[in-house]
Amino acid sequence: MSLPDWLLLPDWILAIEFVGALLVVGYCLRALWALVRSRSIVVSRLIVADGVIMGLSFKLAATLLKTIYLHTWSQILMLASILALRTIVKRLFTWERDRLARRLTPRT
Amino acid sequence: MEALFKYWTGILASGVELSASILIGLAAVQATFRAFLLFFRRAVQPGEDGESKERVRLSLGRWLALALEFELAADILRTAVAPSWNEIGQLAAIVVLRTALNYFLQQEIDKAMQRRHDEPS
Repeated sequence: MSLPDWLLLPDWILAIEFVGALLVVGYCLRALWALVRSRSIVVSRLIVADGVIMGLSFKLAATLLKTIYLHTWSQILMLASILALRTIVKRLFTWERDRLARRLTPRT
Repeated sequence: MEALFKYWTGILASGVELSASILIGLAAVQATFRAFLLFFRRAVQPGEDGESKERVRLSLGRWLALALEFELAADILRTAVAPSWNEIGQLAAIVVLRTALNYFLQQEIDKAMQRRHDEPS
């Protein structure tokens, strides 16, 4: 049984994806601003990492919702590839953020 | 609706890539300026400049690491607009390349910082 059209799920998926994209861009702009103000590359990188992780969370949510509309093997494999790519990049940025945060934390 | 979303996401991704390009350009200009200063200062005041050269290199490396983060952010945005296997494959290859570059660059920066920390003052 397929989902009713009035749910507008495809539009919701696009909206969630776009929010993720806006978050990534917003944090990149904030990182540039922090770079101009504080001149700290580490702080800027931390902000970018935070933004990418948050944006990726939204994009992963949208990708999971898209699984509702998978009909062919090609679509499934394509979505799985994108999901794997985003998950790996999220892992990398999480590791990077933790490392950068440790560098900014003063040693006792 | 989907076409509009893809169009705007493409523009956002290009904007983020442009920021990365500007950062790399500015970093290269700064490094070139510092390198030239170092080169001519050595001619006037010969002395130890190994540490200064490494500082220029490290500074450039840090800027490149920041630009790479921006490039990876743009790659993530592009995963939303990659409709064919060929484009996804190319995107995956670029992401892997940039991730590896980021990793090795960071290793080099960490080693250099460790060396400076370990050196007796």
